[in-house]
Amino acid sequence: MADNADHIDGDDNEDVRAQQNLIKIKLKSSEGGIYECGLTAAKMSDLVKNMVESLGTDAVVTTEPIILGNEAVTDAALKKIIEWVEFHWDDPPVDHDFEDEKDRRNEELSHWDKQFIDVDDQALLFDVIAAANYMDIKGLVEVGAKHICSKIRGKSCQEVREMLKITNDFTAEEEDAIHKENAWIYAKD
Amino acid sequence: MIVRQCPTQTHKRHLWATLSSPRCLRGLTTTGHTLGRCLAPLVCGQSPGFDPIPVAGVSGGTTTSLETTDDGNEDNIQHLKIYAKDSLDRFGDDLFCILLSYLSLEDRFRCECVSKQFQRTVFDSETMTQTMETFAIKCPNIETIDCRGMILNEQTFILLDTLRDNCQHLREIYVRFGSTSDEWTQLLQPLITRMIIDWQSDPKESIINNHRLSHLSISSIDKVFDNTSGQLMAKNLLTFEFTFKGNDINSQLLSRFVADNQSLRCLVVNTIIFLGQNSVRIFADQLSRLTQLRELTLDLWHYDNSLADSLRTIGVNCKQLKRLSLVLKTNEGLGVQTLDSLQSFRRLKRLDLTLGSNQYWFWGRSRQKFNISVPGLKIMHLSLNLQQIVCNLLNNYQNHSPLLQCLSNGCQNYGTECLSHLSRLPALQTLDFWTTDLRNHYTRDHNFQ
Repeated sequence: MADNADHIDGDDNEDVRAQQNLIKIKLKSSEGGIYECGLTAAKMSDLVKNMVESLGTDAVVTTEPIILGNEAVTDAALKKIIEWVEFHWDDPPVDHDFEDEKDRRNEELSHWDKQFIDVDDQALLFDVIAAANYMDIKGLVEVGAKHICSKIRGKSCQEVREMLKITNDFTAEEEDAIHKENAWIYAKD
Repeated sequence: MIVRQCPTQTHKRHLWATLSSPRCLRGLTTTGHTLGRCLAPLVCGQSPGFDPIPVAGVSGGTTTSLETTDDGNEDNIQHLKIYAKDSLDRFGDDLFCILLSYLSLEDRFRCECVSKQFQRTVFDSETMTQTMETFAIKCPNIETIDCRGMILNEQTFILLDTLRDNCQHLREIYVRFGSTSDEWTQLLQPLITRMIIDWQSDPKESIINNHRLSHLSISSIDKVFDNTSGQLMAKNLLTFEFTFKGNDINSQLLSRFVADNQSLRCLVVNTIIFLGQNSVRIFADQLSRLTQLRELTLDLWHYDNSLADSLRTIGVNCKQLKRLSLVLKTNEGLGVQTLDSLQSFRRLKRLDLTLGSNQYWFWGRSRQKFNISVPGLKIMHLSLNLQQIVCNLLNNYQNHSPLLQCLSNGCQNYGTECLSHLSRLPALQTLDFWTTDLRNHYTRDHNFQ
């Protein structure tokens, strides 16, 4: 039995992972909506993974849904997140021996990820990122971060503020001082 | 804290409430320093495009009700801030930092003044390694890396290695050699041209014996000689700094070093013991063989008798000297002729002179009025730290140094007379007085022409 459990939990076996993903668990948003998600996919969230491991798989499958109490996990955000993990659950696991973190950071987003993250509703986008951060889904946080950074790229401070609705809490003098320090970067434009 | 949602409104927008109280922190993983941007959604009717507003203002309206059940402390309400759900302001510093970590270096600089949170997080140290790598990619034309001010560890060496691989134009690396950096220093050796060797570390021959090494700072001169073969490991240097010890005279180390380093342009010598009359003379004789010297710094503890002659020997022989910095600490009286000997430095442009005594009573005993004859007509930069000497030495400035542009004075007493002499210096551009005792003296803005 113990062997079997080990075997099932082993992430390296693709068949087992596929098999496990047929098991559905329930996730409950902070707004109360309950959504089904494949077990392997859901475990891309370290938060869910830890819960599953501490409660045991059987308990999770048969009992109450896993409650994601963070307010960022709205119904809409949770749906997006489940969509993402269900697409990515069979990604090959990151091999730290061969894959350079630097390369991964510099890599462009895939076409699917770009379309996925390019949502018009910025509140939803930020919900997804905050929820992914809460649920500890590193891959999805990275997708969100890359998306935001790509939007910031090449924009002026004012444009960035307007786009991301950031309040400018600098005084005019403070802003001038920073501008002066960074004059060389603006001179390039 | 519980925040209740109110009935749906048309144009409903989500607001975010923040409490500075940490117990309200839920959700975002934060590590202490970050303000908890607490996540309590409010729904209220608001026209689009509002700024974050205090929740008190919102709850005053009819559309929102806010209820705190834990303690009803009104302070909490004071600390509440609301962030619009579609504003990046809603994120705490930690997540903010992760989000911005994918920005290019250029964008980081450009966006620094978006908001204070941006400024805090955009150059966060956790992403510094990545930033340095960006440097390596973005600035392939780096020629010199100076890390003498850093304590080098494994990580910095890996970084240097990255930079070396990416920067094709890299010519020079300056390092401080610590006891643990042997193998790395060897790896980077061909690029290291300036090196500081801490007093506790013992440089290996292979490290120091590098024909490209041009600047070396070392705790004592015997370290540039191989312990076994006695060979000199540093030749043809341009700059050298060391601490002089009495026994270096006897062992001829200085004379051997000088013989193989005729190229020396800049020499800095610190002494930590009083040198006897003979030692000073031999020392000066050796230095006077360095005819290419442009800069000389001597920090001498000495007996006075022979210093004037020794300085004159150096002045006469090292004709190229343009910059002289003397720190003279004596336990005997300092003769006027000692300072007169500075006249032999004909081409001097800059003189920094510090006179001091290791025994406080000395100056009291021999309070003299110095007339320092500033050497030559070429001097442009003069810095004097004369402690307790009564200062009438400014009198001669205008006659002797028509070119003087920068004057820095540290004396304890300035006479008004002495200040008025300053007004006659035609080329003066910078004047720096530092004293704790300018009292009773009326300083006025002199109109230097």
